[in-house]
Amino acid sequence: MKSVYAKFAGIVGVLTLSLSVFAQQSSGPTLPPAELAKQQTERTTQQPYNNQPVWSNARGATSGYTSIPGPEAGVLIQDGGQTWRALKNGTVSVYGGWALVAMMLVIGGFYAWKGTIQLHESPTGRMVERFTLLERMAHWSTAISFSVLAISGLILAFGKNILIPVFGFHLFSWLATIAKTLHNFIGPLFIISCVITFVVFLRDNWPKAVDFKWVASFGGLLSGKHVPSEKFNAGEKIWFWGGLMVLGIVVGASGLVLNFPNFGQTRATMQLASLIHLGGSILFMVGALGHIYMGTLGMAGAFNAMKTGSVDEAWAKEHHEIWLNDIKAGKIPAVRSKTHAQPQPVGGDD
Amino acid sequence: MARMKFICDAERCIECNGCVTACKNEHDVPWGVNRRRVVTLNDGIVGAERSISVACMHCSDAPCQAVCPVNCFYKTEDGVVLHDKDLCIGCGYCFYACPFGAPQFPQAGAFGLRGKMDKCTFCAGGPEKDNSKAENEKYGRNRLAEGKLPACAEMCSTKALLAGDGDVLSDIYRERVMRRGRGGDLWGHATAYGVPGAKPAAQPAAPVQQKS
Amino acid sequence: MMKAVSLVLAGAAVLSLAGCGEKPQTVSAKPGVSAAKADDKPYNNDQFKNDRAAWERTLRARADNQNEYKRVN
Repeated sequence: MKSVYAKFAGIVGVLTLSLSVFAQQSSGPTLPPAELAKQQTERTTQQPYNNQPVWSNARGATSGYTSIPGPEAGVLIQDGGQTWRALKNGTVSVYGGWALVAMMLVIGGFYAWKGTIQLHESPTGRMVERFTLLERMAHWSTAISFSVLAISGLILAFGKNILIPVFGFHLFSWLATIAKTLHNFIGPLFIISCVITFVVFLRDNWPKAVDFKWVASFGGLLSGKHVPSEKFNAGEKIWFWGGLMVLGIVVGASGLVLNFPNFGQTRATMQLASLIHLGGSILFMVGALGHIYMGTLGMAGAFNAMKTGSVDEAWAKEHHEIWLNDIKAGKIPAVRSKTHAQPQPVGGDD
Repeated sequence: MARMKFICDAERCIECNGCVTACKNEHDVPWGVNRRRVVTLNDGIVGAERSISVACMHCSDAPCQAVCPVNCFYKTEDGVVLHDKDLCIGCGYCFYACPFGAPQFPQAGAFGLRGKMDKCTFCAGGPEKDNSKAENEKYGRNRLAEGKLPACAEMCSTKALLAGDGDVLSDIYRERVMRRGRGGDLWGHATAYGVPGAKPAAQPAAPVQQKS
Repeated sequence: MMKAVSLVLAGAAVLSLAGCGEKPQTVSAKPGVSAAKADDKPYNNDQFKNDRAAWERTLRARADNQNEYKRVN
């Protein structure tokens, strides 16, 4: 237990350090502008050329008058950019970058340890409908737009350090232009896909008591014991609520703020939105790596479920037993899609 | 080695916006882009009003350079921060990072379509061949290569805005501070701020802090 | 459960080592070196014939010209 406390203390230390970066940078005026102006008026007569009250007010985004139109044109100094730069280039990029690398290493290690987890029983040949065409289309439009956004976002965030030495400045500039354009235009599509996916899968992701048991034993992934689950297990539900919904809102909203600068957002807003977007999207990508792994390499048959829409009964029994029992008991209609009158033909390609 | 700098003397700046106009004219800066602007603090408050002309300050540790995702910024031998418009992707990061609001974009359109960033070049052009047509179209005139200083400072009527090697500027400024003595000795001081010690002749009924 | 929690905490502790990768962020300006293409020296032209000293003298005279105490008196 002692070591756990030590680690906790370490994490608290890291958080305190990153907060202190904020504290260092905040240097607003100590007095209200009107009071400082009054002081300056007095000082101009008593100590000519001493403009201290004016300049103590100049920092911290105090707006003056300027004849140049444009948002914040009257602001002489906005020093939030220093905090933004320190966190963006430093803390967020360093920890975020290594978090992505660490996640890939964890997945690689897990694959080396477990390999693709096969079915324990042989396939029965009887297929059960798992995803309708609408559900699959919602999933894949989200998945494809997410991948485009993740790759283009990584190019923009880390390409300066990783790709410029490889490609050179000019080729990378073209790549970054393509990445930026794709990112900005696919982004709103991703948000729409997220909303559709959320609506389509909401009912099946409602948390139930059985999910807590699944979480407590980590899905039987480490112990190898069988934990029954519904159509979606607790891990998938956590990804639905924590990933699709929470991170979707965080990253989507901050992305919209950055993507539409034509509403006169201030620089402070953009700096904050940029940090939230960067941090949130790295968490999103870390989660997506896990989700993609489980959906493709990690678990046999999972990819075909989302590709063809139907799974073998043996697969359903092993991974989602409660769901299969509900179908057999008639609580859930066996065929929900309108395009397919019949379930997939017996003996599919998985 | 010269280290190019701007300095603006707030005791002298009369907010005539001549520097802004000179800059726009010298470089044919497009509509909506302002490489230089004059900011007046405590506008309309007698005795507390100070104006200052601000543009790119050509920082030693330039934040724009630090955050640019395509590394399009560079520094010349003389400490002038320049950028390569062929590399710029118009992401706007330099604008978020700069404390002075120096980076400008021709558009602020939806989907982050901003066009390529434009900013004060200290009248030193860009990476293209000096005073070539390409350089002129992208960055404006290269006065440094003609042995001249930035147009804004050279035409400043009160010599509030100075430009050039930091050592020379500090000499000029030191001499100015020593010689201008106190209060009313400053050129135009009595006109602008009234005679020191005397009650200002006209006081606005209600001090206006901001015009917009 | 405890195993999972300590695994996560151990992972977080290892990940916090990433902080050691933070470098000072001061931009190391390599003076006179353009990022992508070499920029001309401002004195490398017909007027100054690549003579930096002559260029600096010209600029110094221009800068001194901004001192009205010298100009007027």
